[in-house]
Amino acid sequence: MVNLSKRRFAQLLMLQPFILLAAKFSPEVTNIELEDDFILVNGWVLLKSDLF
Amino acid sequence: MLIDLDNLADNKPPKKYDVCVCGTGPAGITVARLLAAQGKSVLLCEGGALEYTEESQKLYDGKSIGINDWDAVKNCRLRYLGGTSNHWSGLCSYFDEIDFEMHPNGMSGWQVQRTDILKYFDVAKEILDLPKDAFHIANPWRGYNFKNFAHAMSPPTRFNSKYLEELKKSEKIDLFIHANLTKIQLNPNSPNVQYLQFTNNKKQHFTFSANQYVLALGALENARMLLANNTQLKEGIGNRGDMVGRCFMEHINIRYGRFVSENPSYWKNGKLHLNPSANLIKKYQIGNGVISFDPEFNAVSYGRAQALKQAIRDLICKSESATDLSRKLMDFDCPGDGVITSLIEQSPNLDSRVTLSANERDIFGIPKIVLDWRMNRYDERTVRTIGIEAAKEVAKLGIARVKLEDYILDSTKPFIDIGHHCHQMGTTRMSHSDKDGVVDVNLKVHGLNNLYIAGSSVFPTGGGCNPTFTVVMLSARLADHLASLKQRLI
Repeated sequence: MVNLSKRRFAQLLMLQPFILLAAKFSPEVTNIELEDDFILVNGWVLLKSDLF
Repeated sequence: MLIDLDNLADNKPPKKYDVCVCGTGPAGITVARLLAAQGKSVLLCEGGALEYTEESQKLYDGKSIGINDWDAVKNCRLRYLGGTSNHWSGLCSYFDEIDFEMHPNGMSGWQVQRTDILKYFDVAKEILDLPKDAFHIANPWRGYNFKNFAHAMSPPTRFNSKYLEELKKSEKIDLFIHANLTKIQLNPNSPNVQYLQFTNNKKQHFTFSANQYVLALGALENARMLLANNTQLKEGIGNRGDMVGRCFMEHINIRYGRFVSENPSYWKNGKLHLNPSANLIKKYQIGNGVISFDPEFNAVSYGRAQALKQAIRDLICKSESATDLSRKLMDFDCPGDGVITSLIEQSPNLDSRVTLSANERDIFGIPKIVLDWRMNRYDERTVRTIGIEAAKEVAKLGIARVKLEDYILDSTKPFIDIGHHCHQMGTTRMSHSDKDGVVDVNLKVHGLNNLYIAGSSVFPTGGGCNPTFTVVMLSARLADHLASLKQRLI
């Protein structure tokens, strides 16, 4: 589980540029507002620091 | 002593008892044993047999018009000695301090203090075979809005196999099997139960009397029996305030989504269970609950094509889009995935209720149950808030990242596959008066002098915990209360 978890996590973060583009041009359609520290991308609740 | 009502020759009970207890699940057997230990004579009645039979279980037939189908409801219960303990998972936990406060929807909360229940903590631990260090938390959660879910595992204790020999040998307890409760007769001149009528499988009727009576039949049957006995009081027994059967509650079991983890040390002992903190509950005016992060074990392929199967799985799992597609087509988990499940408290809801069928009856002529289990906006808010806040908390702590299901993030989307935990609660809730409940602080039915209810049906709220441990503590407390009463001539 350890290695594969890390790999899946890395996969997620490697998508960073695409996620940011998607977030910019196709914002999430939900009525949930997260605080400033967080960003919601394709259902993932991420820290903004995960992406920047 | 064990007596089979099917073999009893005539309607002459051997004696009048101090207490008559109906139902032999954890509540009924606990009340009976602890009363006997204090020298009281107890009639303990079970409608079923010593073991499971289809004939007995069929008497639980009914109809569901709410969230869940009836088979799920029926299969939660077992109608034979030991009741639901015969398929209990063994997970024990107990209510938080905040669970004893009034619910934000305005419904009343517990009338008894938490400390009054916890006086029976060690008694319940012994009855349920918990280890001495039960509920000990080795690694306290260092988060902000959640805390560890304090719990312990019973072996689990089966009240059938563990206590049958003791009940048989008891000089104080007469255990009757095949004793189907069919009538609660009230004294026409005073607010007392006069006698109970039981019917055996040969349709022969027997009447038994005692100084005090306890219904411990489970949340559905307790309400059913009170409502069905409506010849003397047209609204049924204990139902002056139209509260019998109302506020039926379950613990909602909903899938929140998946998670990935950078830090698997948190899951080295299995699932990670968290409760929301009191501050979070108050801030968002939500209910309690348990959110569980469950690590999936590595998928293993078998058979001659083992290597090929494993290679294909690995290939799919490397691609986010291929994995998503596979999950749409089947239940496809990748190594390292974690799933998030839950046990969420429902608010007491007057419209979530047990009623009686107008035209369907069982073989003894008792109307069958109609269950209308409902969720309301408080419950939806509880589900969504706990999921979102937990996802934020584990991210903030650097423990995991969570992908929440669409219906958690978007309140306009209906929940999919709302499950339950077979925790049926609340149909005869504890309250100050009959305006908002059925029993008082001592579990006595409002307006009657000698009829009591035991079991989770008396819970005014469900909390974020499994109910059996609290059921046993409350039952031990009830036994002490009944033992302290002076005998009364009826």
